[in-house]
Order: sequence, then C-alpha cells, then structure tokens
Amino acid sequence: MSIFAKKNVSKAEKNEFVQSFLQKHLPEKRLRQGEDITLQHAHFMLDNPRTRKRKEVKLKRKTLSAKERKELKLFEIQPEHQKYDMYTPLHQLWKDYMKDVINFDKITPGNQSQMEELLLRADLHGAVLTVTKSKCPSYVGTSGILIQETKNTFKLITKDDRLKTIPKPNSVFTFELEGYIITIYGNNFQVRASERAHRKFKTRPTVDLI
Amino acid sequence: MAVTFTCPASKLVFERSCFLHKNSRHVTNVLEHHFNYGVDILIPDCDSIPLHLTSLMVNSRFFLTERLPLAILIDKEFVEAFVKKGKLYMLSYGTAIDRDNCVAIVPPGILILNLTKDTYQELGLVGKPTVFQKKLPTKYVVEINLTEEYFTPGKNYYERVKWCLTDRLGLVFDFLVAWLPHEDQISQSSVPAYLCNKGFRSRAFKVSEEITFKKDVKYPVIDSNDFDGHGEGGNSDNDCPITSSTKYDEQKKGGTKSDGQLKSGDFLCSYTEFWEWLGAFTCGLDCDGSPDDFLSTFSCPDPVSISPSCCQCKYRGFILPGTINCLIESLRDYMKSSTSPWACVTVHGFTDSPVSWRRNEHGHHKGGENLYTFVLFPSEDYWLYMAVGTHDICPP
Repeated sequence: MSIFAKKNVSKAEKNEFVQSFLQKHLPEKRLRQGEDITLQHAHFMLDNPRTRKRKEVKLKRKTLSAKERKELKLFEIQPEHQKYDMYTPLHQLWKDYMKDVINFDKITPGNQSQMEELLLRADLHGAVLTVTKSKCPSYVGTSGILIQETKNTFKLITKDDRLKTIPKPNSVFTFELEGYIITIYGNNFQVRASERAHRKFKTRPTVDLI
Repeated sequence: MAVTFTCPASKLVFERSCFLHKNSRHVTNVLEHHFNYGVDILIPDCDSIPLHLTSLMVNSRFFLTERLPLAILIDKEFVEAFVKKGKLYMLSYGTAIDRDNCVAIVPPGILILNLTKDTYQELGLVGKPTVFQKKLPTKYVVEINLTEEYFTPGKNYYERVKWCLTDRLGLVFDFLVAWLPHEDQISQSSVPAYLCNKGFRSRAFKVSEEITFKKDVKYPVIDSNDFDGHGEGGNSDNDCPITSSTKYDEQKKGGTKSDGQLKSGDFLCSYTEFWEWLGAFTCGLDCDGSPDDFLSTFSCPDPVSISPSCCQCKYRGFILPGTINCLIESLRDYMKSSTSPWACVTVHGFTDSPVSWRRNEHGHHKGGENLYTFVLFPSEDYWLYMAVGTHDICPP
C-alpha cells in the first residue's frame, strides 16, 4: 500500500515530494554520500514482510507396507491354487535351472565343495523336499514340491493337494537331484531365500543337527 | 583309600494278605508282571519237591525268532490269529534298554516300542519321552494298541504305522516269543509255525531247571501276622498293610537287640530282615556271621531255626505269568500237607524289558531289577514283596 494511493497526484509532484522529504529527514552525512538519490528508487514493503511457508507435498509410497501386504494376503496361496499338478511344471523348470547352475557331469571329489557352495546359494522353489528326521514325528515323511520359502518355514504342496507349512528348525530335509541325495539341516538353514543367495556362510567345525 | 559308592535309589513295596481274602490281588499282581526271566523257589524242611511242581515249569516252552521285522507283527493276519486270541508275550532279545531300541508285545495286544532319540526322530510315530529323563530325553516310548478297532488296513493310522515300519526304517529284532492259546487244542507252537511259513526261523527252548538240597540250613523264624517283628499279633488289625521303604536296613534295631536266647514270639524277624536274608541265601552266602570273614559278616537274623534239608529250585527262561500263577496255586496245595513253616517264590523280571508291572515304563539305570517275592504260609496267608530299581515306576 502506498501513501499516495488516495491522492490524485502527478509523477513529477511525487518525485518533488520524495526529494524534499529525504533532504529534510536524512542526516547530513548520508546526504553527502548521495543517498538521497539512491533511496528514491528503493522499495519498502509496508505490510508484514513474512511470507507463508509452502505446504510440502507428501510423496506417495510406491510399495505396500508389510501390514498392508499382510492384510491383502498377497503371499497366501489360495485354496484353488493348491493343486500338485499345477506345480509339476515348476518342478521341471527348477530341474532345468539346477542343471544350469551345477554341471553334474563334472562333479569330482575335488570340486565337490564348490558345488556344495553353489547348491547352498541356489533357489529351491520347485524342489521336491522330504522330511526325513524331525523332533516332531508327525512331520516325518511329508513330501512335496516347495512352493514358498520363508525365513523359518518351507511350504510344501503334497501329492494329495494339501499345503503343508513345515518349520525349518528341528527338522532335516532331503531332495534328490540327478542321482544325488542332498540333505538340508533345517537348524542351519534359517535364512530367507533371497538373502541366502548373497549371504556369506560361515564354516563351522561342528553343527547341531537337531 | 576308601571309595564309597552311593546306593542307587530303589523302591520296595510290601504287602501282607491272605489268598482267601476277596480283595487279594495275588493273581492280578502276577499277571501284570509280564516278562519273567527267572523263578527261585525256596522251601525249608523239605526232603523232596513234588513232581507236579517241577513238571509245570519244565514243560513250559518258549521260542526265539531271529531277525523278525516289526511289520510282521502288525500284519492283520497275525493280529487276528495270535494277538486278539490268547495271550501273546514278545520281547526283543539281546537289546539293552538304556542303549538300544527295545520292543515288546504285552497282553491285551499292545506293542511297546522303547526307542532311542535318533530312531524316534526318524521313524515318524508319535510317542512320549521317557519319564526318567526330564531334560533332554534320550529314550522315547511309543505304544500301539494292535487290537483297537481303527487299527485295520485301509485306515489312516494303520497305513501310517505300516509305512513307518516298512518303508521308513526296516526295524528288525530277535524276539523271545511265548503264546498262551485261548483253546487247549491249539498248540503253543502255532506262532513259530506261522512265522516259519513267512520265512523266519525260530528255535524252541525249555525252561532250565536246577534243584539243590542244602543240609542243616539256619533260617529265620517268621510269623505271617507279625511282619514288623515287634511281638506276636502286632498290627494285625490291618488287612493289607502296604509299606514302602527305600532303605532295606531301616529296621535292623529289632534284630540286633535279641540275643538268640529269646523265645520265639518276643522278637521275630521283620519283613525287611527276612528279605535281606533271603537275598543273601539265594546268592549262596554262608550267613554264619563270623566276624573276621573277608567277604561278608552278615549273619542270619535271630531267632534261628535249623532245617535238616532245604530245597532250592532255580528256573531260568522266558516264563509266562500264567505259569507262575499255576505254580503258586500248586505250592499252596503243597503247603497244606507239608511241615514247612513257609515257602518262598521269587520271580525276577528281565532287566532290559521296556515294562515292569502293567505298562509302567522300566529302565536299567544301575541294576534294572524288577522282581517280586511271595512268602507262602500254611495258613493261606502270604507276604508279597515287590522291588524295583531307580528307573522304575512304583509297582501297584
């Protein structure tokens, strides 16, 4: 808001008034420095100079939270999908994948430990796992295609189309591959499938089997 | 240097009753102790043992079947023919209860598997951990009732058991087999004959016998009513007193006070002293109590009676409880006509049997003893001692 706003005055009159006003009010020292001329073009806002802060626009999360995922039951296998026959192609796929990972023709006693390392990092989804030993005898003998692996459980689909969730600890699993029988000690296998691929496994002199 | 060994805990149950009493449990008590390894009979003042007593024991036979798979035992044909009819007793032979898997079949058709931890975890049959090891049990007990209605081929449980015993682990054992047929016409050897057809060889054995007569034996005087040894008729108001004691020498004071000059009736031998003497005598100890004896200074508890001839019979084998019941019956008949003040029948159970009485779990610990002794009196009264070791459940 300007103090001239209400009066209908010409530009020349305005300049004259500012000139005389500054001459009158500015101290002599500042007049000598010629500030009366520079100040004529300076602007001062007479209302509150503080500006309102701009509202920050929240970035929308692109992925679901763990809670939302749980509520949506994203990773649960629907009863209509719990069919053994549905997963036999997966098993076939997994077998081809394992053949790519491990060259079974070239296994010698010398490079066996290398192959074991590869096996450890390989994905097991699609393998036919069997529980051979367990602290809970009811689990013993359960056999099926692994369709989901979590940190602490294996989810197997059995031949009679039932989904079995078997905890890894206190159980020993085996699977057969190209004539080799591979044993998994569940107690030492409690890692997420995705983490297992990159994780560095420590070699221990002795392991607790069950 | 003196080395002291702590005595392992043991349990002794004492019972006094009369054969004629309506609540007397002598028959069931014998029948409930399934696996008997040896019978010792001791009769003082006896010149010759009646033939019908010995023939009873000697005529009983048992079989040893070698390398018999467990799957045969749950075979429907086998169960229908032998387990459901008659009484089948089977016990795995040559297996130590504290180290190996042990298997037994007790009437009425219960298969008991006493398994080590490794076998249990691999076998896949649900059982219970042993009651003797609370933390980290190394033994597990699986019980399968073969006579149960749902235990038939086609049912889930049967198929599971069959699969576990055949496909998972082909458990094979040597078995001691004895079968009491439900009808007299059927031969005892039907079981081995059946197994032979299936291709499993059996050998027949007879109960071994050893009869000795000892001359001039000192034996303690006991009275059926006075089991405490505190004078005649004491505590006789109790019909079936049951005393459990873990220390056998608990009541020795009564014996040491008497000088041997006391008339019988003042202080008699108490039940604990008598049992101690019986054990010592059966082991062949001199019991003369000479103070500088290197091995033992044990003496026969006072007051003492001397028998001109004492008959001692030892039977060893796989003896059926039914046979022992018959033996006790004939001994009762014998006692009516004889002059003997008492007669003793001691029955030792197998130390490696998975059960002692009924289906009570049995373990070995240090001795694995499970035995009982009947002391028969001419008045049809009897004393019954039942003793078990540390790894045992108190007998009924």
